[in-house]
Amino acid sequence: MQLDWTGWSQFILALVAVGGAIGAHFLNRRGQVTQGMQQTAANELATRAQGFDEMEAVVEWQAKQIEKLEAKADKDSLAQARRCRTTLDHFMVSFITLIGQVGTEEARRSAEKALTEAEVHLAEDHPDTPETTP
Amino acid sequence: MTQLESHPRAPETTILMRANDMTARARWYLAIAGVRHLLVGGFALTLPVSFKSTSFIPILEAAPLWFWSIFSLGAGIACTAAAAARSEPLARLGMAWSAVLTLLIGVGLLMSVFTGQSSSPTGPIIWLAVALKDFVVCAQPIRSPFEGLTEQLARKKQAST
Repeated sequence: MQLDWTGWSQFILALVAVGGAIGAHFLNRRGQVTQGMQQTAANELATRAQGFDEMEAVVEWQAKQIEKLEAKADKDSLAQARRCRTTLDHFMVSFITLIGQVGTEEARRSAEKALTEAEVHLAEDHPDTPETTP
Repeated sequence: MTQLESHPRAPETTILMRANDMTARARWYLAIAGVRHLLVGGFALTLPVSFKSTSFIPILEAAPLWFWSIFSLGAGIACTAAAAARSEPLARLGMAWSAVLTLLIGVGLLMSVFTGQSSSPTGPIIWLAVALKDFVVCAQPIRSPFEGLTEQLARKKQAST
């Protein structure tokens, strides 16, 4: 089938141009809307991802602080035990000296009892602390 | 007494994606479309004898070759400039321009099929298919924030390994 469109091509192509331009404009708008939606979603995701990073940083910081506190607590306990041991050692020496000096039998027995108690305390409560010489 | 470190301040919330990111896919498409129109327009302007086929009669009846040449060069410049400058408004203009011009050539060639002036029906098939592709691209986002995000995450992962 052959048609004689001579003279009509200008009109037809003009119509196509107008229709095409309107269609392209409409599709461009649609593309922009989709793009805007993607941008919003991506921004939201990025914000959330940053929130996770921040949480991770806080957790790491807290773990570090806990380690520091534990180390300090250990050091304090050790120092206190050492002080206690030294004091008890001093007491023991004093008791031994006292036992040799007291005149009455009753006082000597009391001193010996106190010495035994101090030794028991040292053996039970401070088995690992180093010996200190008074 | 142990001095505890101060709490690290949260970084300012910034958007990870640059707003003007244009996808590599869009840039390639724009560049290829631009070169296509520059070549067609250039040939039409400098070698008008290349358009002696009877298939072009409906197109050339509608407007002279120099008009089509300038129309095509304009679309080519808009598309290539948009690809080079990563400009979204220019890209949208270029794609719309390219889609309309390609559609016009496709319809013109299709008319020649019905008037018996066409040398081959493949011309309108291909030109109209390319026009549809241009329209499809018009309806798509020119820049995708997810591509930027993916690239950044990939870089972060590479740096950590």
